[in-house]
Amino acid sequence: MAAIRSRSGSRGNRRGSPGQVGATVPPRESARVLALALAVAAAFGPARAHAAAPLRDALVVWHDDDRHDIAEPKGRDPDLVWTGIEDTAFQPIGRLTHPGRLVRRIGTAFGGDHVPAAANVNALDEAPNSSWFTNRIGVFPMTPDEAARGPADGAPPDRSAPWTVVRAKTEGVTPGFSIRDAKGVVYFIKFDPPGDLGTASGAAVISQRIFHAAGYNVPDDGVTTFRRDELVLGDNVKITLPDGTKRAMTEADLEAILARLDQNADGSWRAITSRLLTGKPIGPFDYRGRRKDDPNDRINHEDRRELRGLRLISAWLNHFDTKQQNSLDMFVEEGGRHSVRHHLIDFASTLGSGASGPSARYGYEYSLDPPAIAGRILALGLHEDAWRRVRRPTGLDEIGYFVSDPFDPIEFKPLQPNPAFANLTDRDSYWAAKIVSAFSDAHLEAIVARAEYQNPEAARTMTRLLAARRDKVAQYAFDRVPPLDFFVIDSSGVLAFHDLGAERGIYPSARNRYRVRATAAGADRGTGRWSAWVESETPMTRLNSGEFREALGEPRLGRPDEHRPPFLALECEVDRGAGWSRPVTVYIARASARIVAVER
Amino acid sequence: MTHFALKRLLLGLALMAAGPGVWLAPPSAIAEEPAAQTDSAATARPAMGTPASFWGPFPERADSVTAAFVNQRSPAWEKTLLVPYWIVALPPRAATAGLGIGFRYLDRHRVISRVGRLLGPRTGPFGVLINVRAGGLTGFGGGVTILHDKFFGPRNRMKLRTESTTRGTHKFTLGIRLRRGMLDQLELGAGYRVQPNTQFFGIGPSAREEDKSRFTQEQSWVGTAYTWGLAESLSVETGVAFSAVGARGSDEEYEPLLSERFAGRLPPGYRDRSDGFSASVALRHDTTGEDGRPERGGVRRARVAYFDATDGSDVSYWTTRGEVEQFVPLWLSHRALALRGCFSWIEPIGDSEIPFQRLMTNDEPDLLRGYRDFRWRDRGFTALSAEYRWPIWADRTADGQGADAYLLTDLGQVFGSREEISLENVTTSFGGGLRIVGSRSGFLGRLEYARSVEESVIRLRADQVFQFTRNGLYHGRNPIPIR
Repeated sequence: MAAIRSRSGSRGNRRGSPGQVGATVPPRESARVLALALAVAAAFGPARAHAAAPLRDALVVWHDDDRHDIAEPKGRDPDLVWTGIEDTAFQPIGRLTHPGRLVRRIGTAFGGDHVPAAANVNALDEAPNSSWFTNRIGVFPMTPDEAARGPADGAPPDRSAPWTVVRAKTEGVTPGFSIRDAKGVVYFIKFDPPGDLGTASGAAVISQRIFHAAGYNVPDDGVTTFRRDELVLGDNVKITLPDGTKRAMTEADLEAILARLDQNADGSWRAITSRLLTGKPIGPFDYRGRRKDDPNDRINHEDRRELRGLRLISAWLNHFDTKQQNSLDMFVEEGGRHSVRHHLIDFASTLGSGASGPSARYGYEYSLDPPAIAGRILALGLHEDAWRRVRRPTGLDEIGYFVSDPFDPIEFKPLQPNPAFANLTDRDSYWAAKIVSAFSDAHLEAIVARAEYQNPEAARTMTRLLAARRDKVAQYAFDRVPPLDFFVIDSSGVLAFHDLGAERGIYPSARNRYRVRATAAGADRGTGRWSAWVESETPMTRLNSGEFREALGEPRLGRPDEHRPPFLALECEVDRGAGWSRPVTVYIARASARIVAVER
Repeated sequence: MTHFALKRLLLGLALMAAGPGVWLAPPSAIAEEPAAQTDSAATARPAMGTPASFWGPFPERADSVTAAFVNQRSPAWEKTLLVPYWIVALPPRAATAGLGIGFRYLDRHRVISRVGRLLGPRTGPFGVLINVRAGGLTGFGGGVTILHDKFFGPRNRMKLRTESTTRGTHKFTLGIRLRRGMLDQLELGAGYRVQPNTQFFGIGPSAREEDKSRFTQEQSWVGTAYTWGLAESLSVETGVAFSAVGARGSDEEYEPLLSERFAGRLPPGYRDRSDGFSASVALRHDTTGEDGRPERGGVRRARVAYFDATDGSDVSYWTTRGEVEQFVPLWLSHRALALRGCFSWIEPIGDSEIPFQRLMTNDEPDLLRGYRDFRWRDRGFTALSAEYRWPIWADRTADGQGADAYLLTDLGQVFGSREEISLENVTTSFGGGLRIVGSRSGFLGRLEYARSVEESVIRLRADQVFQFTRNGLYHGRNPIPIR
């Protein structure tokens, strides 16, 4: 068939149609396609060279240099309602229309992430210690007692003399006040919502202990009981009224506050005590952007590993109230240097509880979730929302709407969309799941005991629910990123690692097999010929085995060798009966026999 | 080469050049080199005595294991895309920033909180609500409702409501409810309503759409009703009301005028005023329990009323009305089917002609929702309505404040004689909407779209078709016509 010639600028009927043999592509159309292809290649081709940091035979960085002496930053007081509107409406629209994210979304089809990787991870894909986070249970073995102790063991206010009320508020759903004990220490006193004695206070203490053991900076919270004669009204105390105004507080105000609260059977009141944090409060941190007047704050918060990973930990604990107002930056002095320390605060709205009382819906949807609403409209009510099936444990009034089924960790939604949560990648998930799965049943039992539930069955149930949810969080992440971790080399050249999925009981019935292969690698992570796979039933391999020697020659660790590539790369995989996983690549420096990088 | 094949080839070449590894490449985690290794930790292994982590000895803070992490640089392709993006996004971002500045200013000066307390759930007996309505014949409008829940007594209520719309409709109602005992109540109510673009198409089920005309309708009423609660769900209501209704020409902007369209055959009562007293008795059985989101139970009501004119004419008639509503729970929680049927009939006494303004018409609550108000008029009215409701949003709890969506259908007609009740004369409407339900105050409002063969109508209302009869004189119910 004769080709149809197209004139320059002509379209439509000059275009070849499917099935029409020999039709040529109009030049303008070809040019567009070529431009698109070149753009993609230009975008990602050069990027590849810069995507991975070159390998270095050096100690792994475990500390972020973010505690330089600085001037006091300006205090932040973000408007509660406006930040809710921004986070709920404007920020999600911005993320949806951001061209970088759109292009990366296409890239997820090829195994990439929808956002760049977290900015504060070291060569082992761990978050270093910083003013935001301190590695604890995720990296160190921790006894149940250590995990349950929290930052300062939640020591209650001193009772050698009555507590002096120094400030009070009646705004908000539940009232509260601040007291000074006999030692002069100031505590915030908060209470359970009426009708739900024990829910919020228990949840606050449990979650606070867990967040501390996970590595976050948290206040020192505890549960206490007190009687009326242990409280006295201080001088010149101000009370904040529901309309936001303040006036002098009277005894009648104190009685009115206490009268609204549920009491224990013996007439005492149960409360959460939260010790005043050290330093000067300068307001909450935003989960997006940076604090511009803090030179130590160099990373956009939505790109911090510990804030992204917080999403899965919050899912585990149903910590739905993760708005920025539930965080607090403190300007502290340490060793003569002034810097900002970043805290998470206020955990009463966790574990199915809430400051206004338990709600089944929280954790499953945003306060206002237009896509979910639109979906329900289009579904014509033929689908039941998961949260409508959630029921409180029968007869256990101290536990709110906290269940292990239905529970899908990645479907967790806080009250408002969170910019850091929206940037969670599989590697961030894995990091968080590693922390979550580190809490054994014994850890959880010890932590839950600190809640001092009146009903022992409530404590057992809470422990069981936390364990079940923990396993789901871990399984979600470990199914996506193989949980092969904590690689170490001993002096005899044996590379050992941990299979966290097997060790922590996430895959109890699986028969696990491992395989490793090796090659030489340059500083640019370029690799040579891979050895054959070496399989084993245990997570370890001998580097001077025959298969590796064939590919690498003599590995000769611990001795520099300028004739060979300076690094070894080992790919490790696990098979639990469903085929081999994606590889985890470990890089070892020949000269120092040091593990210098891990790639997932 | 075909067009599609060329695209695929070039895209594939481009991606190969980029390499799949770019998607999986680890980050450039550290942008700044650690400080010079000047301390004793600058050896192959951390110092002895450091705590043991799962990775081995964990180093104490030292220059060799400390680095300043910084943001990753955006790749060139992203910077290129961001330039036009920021240009396009500048106006909405500026608008949002301005909105934020204004909002924060108002919040800082407690304007938002005061308005919220004023409009939100009331904690005290006194409250002010803003009414908004839109759609239908009246156009867009709003008003204010003033409430008092302890009006000369702890269980007495007063409601004063005003409303005006862009099309010149004005409405003013005052209602007082005085509780007597557990089940009895006395209601007093008065109201005034003027609507300059009321429609008239003729009388009867055959009234043609082409005969649309407009006039100004003015109504006023004052009345009292006493309800005896025979049991928790059974009550008898008696009432007396005086009502006055007038019909006159509209402004020229509302053409065509009734007097022109129906010249020579003006309906009875046009350019006249009809005053008179009505007395009624009704038996009501209501097992719904709430009006926010009823899922079971129903309302059954039968009413008889007598009207006698006091304007010198000999108009008098009986009105009978029957109404049945039933709410049926469906297969999932908070899904319900709401069904309603009503029948109204005016039987004149003697040969008097009933003023057309007092005829039955499709006006609240007897809406045929695919038609605008007052499309149909005649002595009788019958309708069947159905709504399928399901929840689409809840604030905190499934039973609390939230919003439901619903699909609706209305079948109904007016008739001058029973022989006119036929499938040929029945009108059909269908559509859907959203209902807003409050935590304590039940039904709050609806936004609705309905369609018929003639037109589509959108309504934003604070009242509802179902359970309307719960709202008596206290709620400003208009007794014209008697329903």
